[in-house]
Amino acid sequence: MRIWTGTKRTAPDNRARSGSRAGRVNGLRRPLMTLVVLAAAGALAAGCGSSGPGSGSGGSGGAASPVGSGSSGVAMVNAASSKLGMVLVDGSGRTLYLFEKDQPNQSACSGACVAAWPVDQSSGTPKGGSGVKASLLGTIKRGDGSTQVTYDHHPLYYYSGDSGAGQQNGQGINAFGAAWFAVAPAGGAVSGGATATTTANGSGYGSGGGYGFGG
Amino acid sequence: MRAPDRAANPASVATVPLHRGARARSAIGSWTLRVGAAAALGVDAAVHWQNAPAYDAVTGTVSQGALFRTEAVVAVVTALLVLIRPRRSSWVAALLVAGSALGAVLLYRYVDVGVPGPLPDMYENTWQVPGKLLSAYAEAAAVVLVALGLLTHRKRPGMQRLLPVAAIPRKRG
Repeated sequence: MRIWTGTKRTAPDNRARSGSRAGRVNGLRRPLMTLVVLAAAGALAAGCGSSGPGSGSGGSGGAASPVGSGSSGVAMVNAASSKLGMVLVDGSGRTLYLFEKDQPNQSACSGACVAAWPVDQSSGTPKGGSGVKASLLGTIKRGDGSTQVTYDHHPLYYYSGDSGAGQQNGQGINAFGAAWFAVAPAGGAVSGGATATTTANGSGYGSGGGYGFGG
Repeated sequence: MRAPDRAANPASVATVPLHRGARARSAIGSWTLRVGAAAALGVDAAVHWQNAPAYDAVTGTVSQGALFRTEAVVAVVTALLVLIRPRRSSWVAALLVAGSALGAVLLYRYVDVGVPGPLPDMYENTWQVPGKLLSAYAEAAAVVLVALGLLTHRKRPGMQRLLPVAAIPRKRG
C-alpha cells in the first residue's frame, strides 16, 4: 500500500520530469539519429558503388574488363616500352602480370583473386608480337575449363586497377599472399617500382628480372 | 513554458502521452541503431565469407581464409546479439568485432607488418579486391552505429521505473 500510495503521489511528478527530459533529449537525439542513419547509408552506398565482384572499379581506378583477349579469340602478346622498361602487354596494350605464388604452369589464383586479377585467356595458341620470344609462349588449362596464356611458364594476368593501355598500377602489389609484377620479355618479373622479394619456390629477383622457375 | 506548467500540476494527464511518445521515439532510435549495426556487420560477414576461399593458400600457423571465416561467423553472431539481445555486453562485443576488423584491414592495407606470430602475412596494399572497400565501409559504419548504441544504451524500462519509487522519501508517523 505504501508503495502504491507513494507511486500515486509522485508518479505524475516523475512523469512530468522524465517526460520533459525525454522530450529534450529526443529533441537532440532525433536529428542525430537521422544523421547517423544517412551517413551509414551513404557509406554503404559508396562502398557498393566503388567495389564489387567483377566491377573492378575500386578506389584507384575505373573498370578493367580485359580487352583484346579472352576465350572468344586467340591472345596476342607484345612487348612495349613503359616507365618500368620493356614489359609484356596484350594486343590492345594492356599490361600483363605474373603472380609470385604461382608454380610453373600452375595458377594459384582463383575466386576473388581472379576477379581482382583477371586471367589472360586464349582460345588457341597465343601469338607473339615484336620483342616477344614466341617459344616462351604457352597455355595452361584452368580448373574452370578456360585456357590461360603463359610466358616462360608464368600464367599471365591483367590487373583490375588498370583502366587501359600503358598502365602498370599492379606492379609490386601484394595481394592474395604474394606479390604481382609486370613481365619482362626475357621471361622474368620486372622489379622496378617494387621491393625485391623472394619467390615461393626459392628463386630470387634480380635487377633485370631474375624471376624464374628454374626450368 | 508548457513543461514547467505540467510539472507544477502533478494531476495533469497530458504528460503521459508526451512521455510515451518520447519513449516510442527512443525505441525507434534504438531499433534503427540495432538494425543498422546488424546490417553493417552482415555485409562485413558476407564479404569475408565469400572471399575466404581465395585466401586459403595464405598460411601461417593459421590460414588467412580460416581467419576470414572466423571473422564472418563472429560478425554474424554479434549482429544477432545486437538485434535480438541488445544488452551492454552485446554492444561491447559488436564494437570489438567491428573495430578490430576495421583496424586490421587498414593496418594490412598500409603497413607491411610481416608475419606476426601465428598469423599469416596478410599485407595487401590494394583495395582492388572484390568487396574489400565495401567491407571496410561497412565496418566503419558498424563502429559508428555500435558506439552510438553503446552510448545511448539504457537499462530495461522495468528497472528504470523502480528507481524513482526507491527514491521516494517516506513520511514518518
